[in-house]
Parts: sequence; structure tokens; C-alpha cells
Amino acid sequence: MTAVAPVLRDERGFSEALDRWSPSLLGLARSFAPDVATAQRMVERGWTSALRSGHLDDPGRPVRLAVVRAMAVSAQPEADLALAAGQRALCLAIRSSGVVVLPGQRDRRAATAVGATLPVTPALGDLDLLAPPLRLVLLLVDAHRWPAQEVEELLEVRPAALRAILGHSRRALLAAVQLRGASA
Amino acid sequence: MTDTDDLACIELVELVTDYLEDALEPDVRARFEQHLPSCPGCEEHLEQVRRTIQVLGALPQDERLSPQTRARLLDAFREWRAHPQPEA
Repeated sequence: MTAVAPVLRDERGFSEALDRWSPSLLGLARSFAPDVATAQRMVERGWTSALRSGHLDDPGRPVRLAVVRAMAVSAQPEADLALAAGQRALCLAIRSSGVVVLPGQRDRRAATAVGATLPVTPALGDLDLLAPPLRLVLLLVDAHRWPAQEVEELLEVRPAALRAILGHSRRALLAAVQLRGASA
Repeated sequence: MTDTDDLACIELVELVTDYLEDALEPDVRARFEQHLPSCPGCEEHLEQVRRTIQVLGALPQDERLSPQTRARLLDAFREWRAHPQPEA
């Protein structure tokens, strides 16, 4: 007998998975969709695509990872241009996060900014100051607390590379907030 | 901020995430912690990164699927249960 993923066992399991994972999926989609309604459609499309393509079948595969991947893929030419734009933005962020910075690569601009450090505390809205790949990493790790292993799998990077990208993203956020504060 | 310590500030800045993730080798961690008391700039940077993580971790996660979206997804699930073949 083949094991069935809990999310697919019955309607209750699926309903519970919707309630458990959709808030963070919506939070992620909101950062890449042009508006709230499009974010809802992105998440809906992600769930239905993951369901119908069999990507929820594997009991060992994290549900949200499968749905986020499906959110970023348009299976056919999309008549809904806003949805297509959101999917494309998320897809590009996922694909380019892994090449933002290589482990060991020096980030001199951010590093030297420490010398003239200003006391800053970023606000959530400051994430919009970042390039999409950097924003994606901070949303996944710091905001939505995805386990590092899932983020590594999504971005297809090794642990050391993820830490390097994460460090770069945090420094970039601080630098952007400092720059904004200095020019205010 | 100093550049004469064993661990240079530029190195420390790049190691902050590994430090907070407890991913540094013991000797590097010791050098990291040895550097901090003598360097207010690096101490401040470490504190800023900590605050950044706290702020981002406070992101409200109270968004919900709209009732219509949720109902459509449950319909899709019922349909899939009735005809569970994966799409090509």
C-alpha cells in the first residue's frame, strides 16, 4: 500500500493544510504580486497546480515548498497579466537568489558602511527597498522562519551559500535603511 | 572601528550571520567575540542585525485566503479526489 501524504488523505487534511500554510504563502505572494487580489490568485494557482501535478503526493516533501514552487510556474500562457507578472517576479527572485553572492565573496560596500554606522532599526516596509532576490531570502528565513533546509532546497544552494546570501541581504537592508535615513 | 585586530572589521561583518547561526568554528568564534569589546562599530552592527531579525520576525501573518478562494480550492480537492491522475 502506498503512503498518502497527510495533506491529501482527506478533505479535512487538505483544509487544515490550507489554513496552516496559506498565511505565509500569502505574505510571500504579497511581496511579488502587484496587488492583494493577485496575491490571492497566485496562492490559489499554487495550491491547484501542486495538487494536480502530483507535487503534494510525497509525504516527505514539505507542503509549502511544493506550493511555492508551483506559485512561481505558469503552466500555460497566462491571460491574467497581473497573475503572470507576480509569478514571473517570484520565479526570477527564486532563480537569481542563489547567484546573488558567492560564499567568501567580499561585500566591501556594506562592510565599510559599518565604519559610519548610524543607529537604525528597519521596519517591515523597508523590505521593499531591496532587490527581489534579497527580499525573498529575508522573507523566507527571517520573516516566515522557514527551516534553512527548505530554503536551501527552494533556492538550490548549499548551507554555506545560504548563510552568505542571508548575510548579504541583511547588510543590504541595513545599508538601504541607513542611506534613506542619511538622505532624509 | 579598527583594522589592527586579529579579526578585521570587514571580516567580522561578513561573519555576523554565521555567528548568529552558531555556524562558526570555535577558534573563529573566539576571535569574533574577542574583537567586539574593543570595537563599538562592530558591536553596533551586530546589534543592528539582531534587531533586524527581530523586526522581520514580527511580520504579522494574519492574512487568510478569501472565503471564495478557499471554497474553490476545496472544490478542486474534491475534483482531484474523484479523478486523481496527475496532469502531464
